Amino acid sequence: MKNWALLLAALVACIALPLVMGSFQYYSGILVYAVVLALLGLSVNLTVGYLGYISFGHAAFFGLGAYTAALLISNFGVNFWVALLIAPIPAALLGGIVGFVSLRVGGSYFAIATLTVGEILHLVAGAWMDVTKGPLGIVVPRPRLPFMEGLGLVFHQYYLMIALALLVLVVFTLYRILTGPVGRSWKVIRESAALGESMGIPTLRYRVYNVALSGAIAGLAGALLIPRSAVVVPEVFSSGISATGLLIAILGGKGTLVGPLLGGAVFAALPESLRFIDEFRMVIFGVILLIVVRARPSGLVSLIPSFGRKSKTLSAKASKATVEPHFEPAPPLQVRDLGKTFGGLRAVDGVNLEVRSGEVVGLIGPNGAGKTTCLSLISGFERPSRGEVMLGDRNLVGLPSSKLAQLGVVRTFQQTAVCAEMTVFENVLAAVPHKETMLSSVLRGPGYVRRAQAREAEAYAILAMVGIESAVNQIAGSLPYGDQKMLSVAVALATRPGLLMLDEPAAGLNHTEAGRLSKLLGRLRDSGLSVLLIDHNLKLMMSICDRIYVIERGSPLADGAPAEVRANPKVIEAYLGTSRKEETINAAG
Amino acid sequence: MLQVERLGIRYGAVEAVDNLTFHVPDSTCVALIGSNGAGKSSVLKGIMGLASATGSIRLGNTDLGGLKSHQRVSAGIALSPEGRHVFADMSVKENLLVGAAGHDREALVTEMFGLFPRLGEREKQIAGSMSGGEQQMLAIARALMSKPKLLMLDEPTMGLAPIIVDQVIVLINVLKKRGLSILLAEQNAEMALEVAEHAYVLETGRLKREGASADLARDPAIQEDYLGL
Amino acid sequence: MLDLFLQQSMNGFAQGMSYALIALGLTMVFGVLHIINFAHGEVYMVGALGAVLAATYLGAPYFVVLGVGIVVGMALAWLIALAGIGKVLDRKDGSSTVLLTTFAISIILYEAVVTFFGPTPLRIEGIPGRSEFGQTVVTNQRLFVIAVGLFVLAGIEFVLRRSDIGRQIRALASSAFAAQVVGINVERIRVVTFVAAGALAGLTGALMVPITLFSPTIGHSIIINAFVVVVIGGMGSAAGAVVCGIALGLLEAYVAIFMPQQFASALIYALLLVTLLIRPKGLFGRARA
Repeated sequence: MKNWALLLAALVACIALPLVMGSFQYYSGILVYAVVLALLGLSVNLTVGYLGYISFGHAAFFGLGAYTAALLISNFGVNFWVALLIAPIPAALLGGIVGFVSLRVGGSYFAIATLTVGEILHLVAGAWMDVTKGPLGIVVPRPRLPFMEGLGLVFHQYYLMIALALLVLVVFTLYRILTGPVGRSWKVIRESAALGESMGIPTLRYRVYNVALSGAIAGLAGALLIPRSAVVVPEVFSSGISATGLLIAILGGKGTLVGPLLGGAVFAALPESLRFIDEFRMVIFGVILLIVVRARPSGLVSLIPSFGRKSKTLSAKASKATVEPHFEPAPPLQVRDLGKTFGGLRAVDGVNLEVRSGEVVGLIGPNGAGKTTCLSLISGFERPSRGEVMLGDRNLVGLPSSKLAQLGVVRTFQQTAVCAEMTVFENVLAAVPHKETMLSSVLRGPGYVRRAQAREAEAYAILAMVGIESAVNQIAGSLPYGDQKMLSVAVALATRPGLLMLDEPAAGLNHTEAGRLSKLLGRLRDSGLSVLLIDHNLKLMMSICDRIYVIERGSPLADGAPAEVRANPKVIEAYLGTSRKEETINAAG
Repeated sequence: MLQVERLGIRYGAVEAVDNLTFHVPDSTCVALIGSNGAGKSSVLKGIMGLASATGSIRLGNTDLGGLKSHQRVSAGIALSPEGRHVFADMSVKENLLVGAAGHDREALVTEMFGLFPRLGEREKQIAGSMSGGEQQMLAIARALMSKPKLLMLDEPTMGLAPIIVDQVIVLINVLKKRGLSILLAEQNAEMALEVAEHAYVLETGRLKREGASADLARDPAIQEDYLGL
Repeated sequence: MLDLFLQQSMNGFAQGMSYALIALGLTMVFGVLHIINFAHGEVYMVGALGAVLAATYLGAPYFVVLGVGIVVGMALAWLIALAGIGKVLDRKDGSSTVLLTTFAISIILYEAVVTFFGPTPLRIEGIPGRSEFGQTVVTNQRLFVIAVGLFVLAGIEFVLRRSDIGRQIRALASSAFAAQVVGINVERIRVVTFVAAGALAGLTGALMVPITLFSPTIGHSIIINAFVVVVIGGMGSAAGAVVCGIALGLLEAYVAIFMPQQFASALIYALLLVTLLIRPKGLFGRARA
């Protein structure tokens, strides 16, 4: 309700503000500028704040939007207001391409790639005289709207009106995307891409979406500035624009929607001229950025507590819904002759392994035997050097780990991975599978609402099953170690696995917690889930596993029922402790 | 030699080590036993200055509190870390030389090659291309290059063949005879109880048991939890 | 045509040497500190400015001017380390924060120089005269750049392979954790590496300024070229930085025969994106486990 009131107030302001601005053209112009800067800041913030990738080249998208609109107008006679809506498209495409090219490698590369793209466009815009008219730029006449003027409004009034309306639209859209499943996935990726993959989030695709959307908004901002500047020059691609966008996002507060609005207002309201690079001002901005990054990384918005980063808490409805989590066992997993070599070292060498549907299978071996590597190979986090991994009759080798997670092959990590800044509830909710798109998140039709409620109920049911429902609204990072460990199991369960692979879930747990885990594993076995379990707690393993595989130094040593494995002399010697001869020790002297 | 009192180590909300007191006498080997995640490595990292710790850590008469890692190495502490962490793209000899700032290096290198003939044969080989056992020996040799008073070994038998484990045991006994004190963190409780005089059993960062190795090895509870008998 | 080719080869080689030296500093800092020093280009620019001022106002001979470039580069790098890296690096998202702090510092340095010295290009004399090889004429300054560059590269190679500090730098680049374990003073080596990269940048600035003229924008253009070199060569690879740096200088010189300079630059920048697409770890990069 509060949000709707806010939206209504914003829309009223869109109309009222320009009306009272009638005779203050100067201030109206500054407001438009603030809107443009806020849009640019929101765009940068989307990648920097929500995805965690720093961009030094948002001017590329901003300028591309401006040039697209200007060229459409001057070459094809398209109306400015129509061109304004087309302008974000090439910018979004460019964003998608830059994202795809650079995000596979890592954050620093993204910063470099964006910078370079901006530089390329800057050079081309300045040199390609035939099309861009070079440094002189493309002059765009003032796009008057007779309809609006018929209502008695002057140009700067309805220009501001439309700009404000666009800003409200963008903020509204972003709000809905960011609070929906797509935005939640971005936040998971910001914390850890590997965690996202293990939850079944196709992280590369989601990152590309993010940069494309960010590019579109920057393109819109660039085009929207045209009536104010009247001319589009190559400087729209300059690094000064990129720097300004980054400053607004960081100064305002990254990872929030209000931050860039504040930042944009501050930057527009500071004494300014129309020139983009006003040298003296930029020195001060540089100093401010340095101080903010060092001393107050969360930005201006952190001064207003209620507008800071938020995380989803449990709704009353979801807590009342009674859903029993149930799991479809995966088809049998067959691993044949699995091998992995790291720079000459054979980490895994010829491992065979089978997990039948509904079976709990243990994988044990001394520290460093290659158990975790096996798990990474099966779950697609590492690519095997040889061998095959079959799920039913489907070969899993070469599939991305997120795809495997979607097929039900889900792993946990030895080093507990949770999104520390999110609530326990949102951690689990982020892992519940969904088919929502950015569009469905924005529209939020009745179907979406129903599905969202079902997801929340499911998340809560999983938490209850794991036994940490009392911590549901706590921030995950503040939980004690044992509970974080259980949370990571809950997150894995929320992905609706068919084959759950747990990497040392009992490590670091005390007796009580280990008991809780053991009970949970028993319940999971009863629910029909297939489980592949790695742990050093032999008591736990012997009591819960149907069969156990033993590997040593990457190679299989034995397998069979727990009792058989326990009695196997090779296992006793290699794993449970060697019986060394006295003379070896005496020889030491 | 080493006196650790009320050691505490936290990572954010996670308490890795809580109020742990123990000591390592001269020329003896003391073992820290426990399962994965029990806090053994954290203790060694705390002593090494690689994790911020509360409580007091003294080596002989030197208070190590507030010293940086490299100062602790100069004070006489050396660590062979879990997972070996040799400098993978440097040669065996370079690995050793890096570990020996400010000593008579050539003599030390010769000494190490005497102690570890395998390393001598592979002087120029790139460390990353050696087998796990050889890398473990290199990690220990590299630690010895700083002429430590206390050598800390973190899971030295991890992933090694039984025959190499035996070599590590032999080595530890040799080093003890040379007057070195050794702090051993091991999951392989049988090996640890065999080689150490005294052992401390950790569980979720707290001290659970302590005693002479021989006594612990006979203790039924320990046998069940850690020896797999 | 052959003459033009040879001519451009010499010019490109000298220019490429400057790319190699700048990229080498960038990649060493990345290898050891795992950060990208965005202000590295501005160190080059300020080093060049120091050289110009020493030559113009003090009338210092060129060899002294080179020394001034080195000292200015070192001092500036040390200040950057102090303001932008110390304490920040150990934060959870340290390396991305450093990207921002050095970005802020680059803005401050560039804008401050523009404000105080204006955008007008400044020039100084280096080594006078020119040498003729058949039809090819090369200024002695370019030959000097190539000679000094080769000498410096050999010196760096020697230090990294044979000296204690060099081994410690390589050890730290190989594993920060293990470096701490063996008792390397990690903070000191980090600062040493960072300041050494600053010295390289300052020297390169002083070497190049008689050829390229001084303007505040030279830092910005060289850092982008250095990024192209480092990405194509493989982030953290010293050999990649040197080989690709010189190759880029040559390529730039050859392409300039056929098309206007701006298009040539745009084309070369696009190489970076192509590299990321087909060989993300760079030509000399190794996948780390």
